[in-house]
Amino acid sequence: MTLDFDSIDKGTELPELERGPLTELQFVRYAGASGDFNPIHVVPRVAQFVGLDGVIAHGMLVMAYATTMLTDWAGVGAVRRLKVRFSDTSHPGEELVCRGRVTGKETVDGENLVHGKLTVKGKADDSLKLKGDFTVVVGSR
Amino acid sequence: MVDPAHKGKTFDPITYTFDRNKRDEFLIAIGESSPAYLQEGAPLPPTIITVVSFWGGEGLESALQQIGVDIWSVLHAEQEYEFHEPFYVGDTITGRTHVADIYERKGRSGELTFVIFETAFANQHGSPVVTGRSTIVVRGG
Repeated sequence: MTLDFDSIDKGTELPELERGPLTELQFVRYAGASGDFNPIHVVPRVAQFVGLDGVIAHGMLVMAYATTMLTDWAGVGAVRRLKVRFSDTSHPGEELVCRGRVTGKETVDGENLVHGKLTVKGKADDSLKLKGDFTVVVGSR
Repeated sequence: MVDPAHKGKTFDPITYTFDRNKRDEFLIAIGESSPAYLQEGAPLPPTIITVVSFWGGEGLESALQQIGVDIWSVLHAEQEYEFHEPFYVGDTITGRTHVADIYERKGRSGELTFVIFETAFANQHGSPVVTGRSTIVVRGG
């Protein structure tokens, strides 16, 4: 799929991406793959000790889902910048929905840049897991 | 409380060489099934850069210890990446981290301390590939 820079404008919505239901096993896999073995993601007793109901997803796993929404849309290698703020925690059993919207575009040094905002929310309760700003390059690389 | 004197502190460089196995393991862990990542010469998925911070030597956990913070007591509040150049299977990525900022803010549960770690990631040719900024909240800080 090739995006057409001319057809993208402020307000253009990215195709939604759904992920989940999350599982404990995914958190274990992500811990091993990333090397982030913070026990609050994988050891229920530790999560409870620090006041959580149980293990929670790595924020970076949820950020990776948001990134996949961007690359599904703009192509692998298209992401130039992504900044996210983590809000609610994500738990096993939850389904997540990633959404993005274009806020502007510009051509800088011959590169077509598209800027936008994104969110990842819980499908069941609309809880905000993260929100962020992104920039992708369209039509090169 | 984190001593504000740690602002500007630098840490030992971290280094990680990406191979196909780590790529494949990470793609499975984040539920990424795009065949584009498996093609010869494809870039690695953007957020895999976090692997350097955890598997690349004494990473974030050690950085936190060096400023007197226990990893159990932190939450990841924000994450920003700027992607300057793609990076690939076979690349050796070196990350250089420093404490970009330390500040306090009143939260619902009292004073919270925010620490921003900035890491400049470069490839084996010395070219900058990614700049990462991680904002960590220290609970009960």
